[in-house]
Amino acid sequence: MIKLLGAVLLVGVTTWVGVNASFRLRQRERAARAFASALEQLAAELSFEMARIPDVLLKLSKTAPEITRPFFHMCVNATKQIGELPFSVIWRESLLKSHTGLGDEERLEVIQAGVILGRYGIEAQLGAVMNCIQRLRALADEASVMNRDKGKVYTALGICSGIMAVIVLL
Amino acid sequence: MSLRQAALRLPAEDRLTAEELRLRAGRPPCVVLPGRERELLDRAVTGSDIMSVIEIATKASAHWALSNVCSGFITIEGGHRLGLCGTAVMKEGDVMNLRDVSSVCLRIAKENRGIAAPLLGQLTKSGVPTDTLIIAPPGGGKTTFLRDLVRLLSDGASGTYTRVALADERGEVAACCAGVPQLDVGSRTDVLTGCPKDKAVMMLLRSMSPGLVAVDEITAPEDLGAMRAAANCGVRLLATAHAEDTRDLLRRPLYKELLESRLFSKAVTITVVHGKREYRVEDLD
Repeated sequence: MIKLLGAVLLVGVTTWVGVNASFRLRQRERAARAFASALEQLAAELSFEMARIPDVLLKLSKTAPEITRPFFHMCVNATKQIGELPFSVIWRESLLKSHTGLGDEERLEVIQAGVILGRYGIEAQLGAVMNCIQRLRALADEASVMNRDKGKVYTALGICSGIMAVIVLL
Repeated sequence: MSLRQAALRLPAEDRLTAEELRLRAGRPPCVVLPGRERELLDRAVTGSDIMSVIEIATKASAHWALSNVCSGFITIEGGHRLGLCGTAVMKEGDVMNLRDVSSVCLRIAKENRGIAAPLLGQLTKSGVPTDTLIIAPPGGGKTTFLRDLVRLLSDGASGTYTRVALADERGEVAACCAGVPQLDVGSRTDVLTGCPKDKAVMMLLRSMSPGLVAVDEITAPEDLGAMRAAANCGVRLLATAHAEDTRDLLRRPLYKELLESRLFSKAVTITVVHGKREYRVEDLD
């Protein structure tokens, strides 16, 4: 009975590892698309409304795709520190502290956009944001392909490795 | 050393009396004090310094500042004024934006509460304000004096409360930020910001039924027309004008017309002597 329970547990754990790896791929794609969409909203606010960054961040913390809201919320709280810290640092720290599900490459792209944001003229800011959106979309497509190719493999590998381990141990 | 550190290392008296911070790319930063200017640092200002100042002053909204710069300057939190110079981006003959910012002038807003109090008795009759023109050269302190006089009259320091309507076209007097005056203009003062003075005076007369209309800087014939209209409505007038003194006013056609129209019965002339401001009241009748 204990052996059976151990086997089930082992298979369960390895399956969870496989499924989790597959889930992360999906999450990465979802987060990249959500950030691209939020940044599109930000670009629209900047170009059409000529809105100020703290106001835009506040709006995005309420209306941007769900997964990005904690990041914008953190930015809003941290804007009180402008003057003590450059905005690019506030942006980067908020991104690193919030659980967004972005991969390392996507995170780097968003951080890069923050270096230009709020500091230069509208053309430079929009250029940086649009470039970031493009890169995020490309990375999301890559993640999607990877998920399609490897997502099921990760899950199957997880289950199989669990079964293998059970057979070997038994 | 950063600009902030350099500014904080200024002697306490200089920090209290500083009027402006001037940053010019490639030149050392300067602080403007009453009657003199001193270098803040012995190194040249970089483009990055300028963008950092704009970023901090506008709360990371440089694009907003650069697109609003066609009005000459922008008012930031605390009522301070940020003036910018650079390469203008034109569209259909209008300045749309500014790029490659080369100079920043940060004018430090100061209330100087009470500077108008010693003259209040001469500028009122039984507590009621007389029509007063405040005269000084640029940077002479006209706006600061006007703000304090408005505050005193509005708060009833003359013995009678006066409902003041303030046409603050350039946002220098009340320095409204998100609708809230950043500088004290009194509890019975209604402020109309951003509207050309001639239109603003008419709007204020119709909507706010003021006892006194205050205007900062009469510069155009339209402003004079609006003042006339206000005077015809029985409203008291308070305004400022760029000039050394009343004789200097008479040399300029617009101001000559203003004096000849006898809209104002008193003039306050502000002069800076050895870094200190002196105020003189004259009868214009």
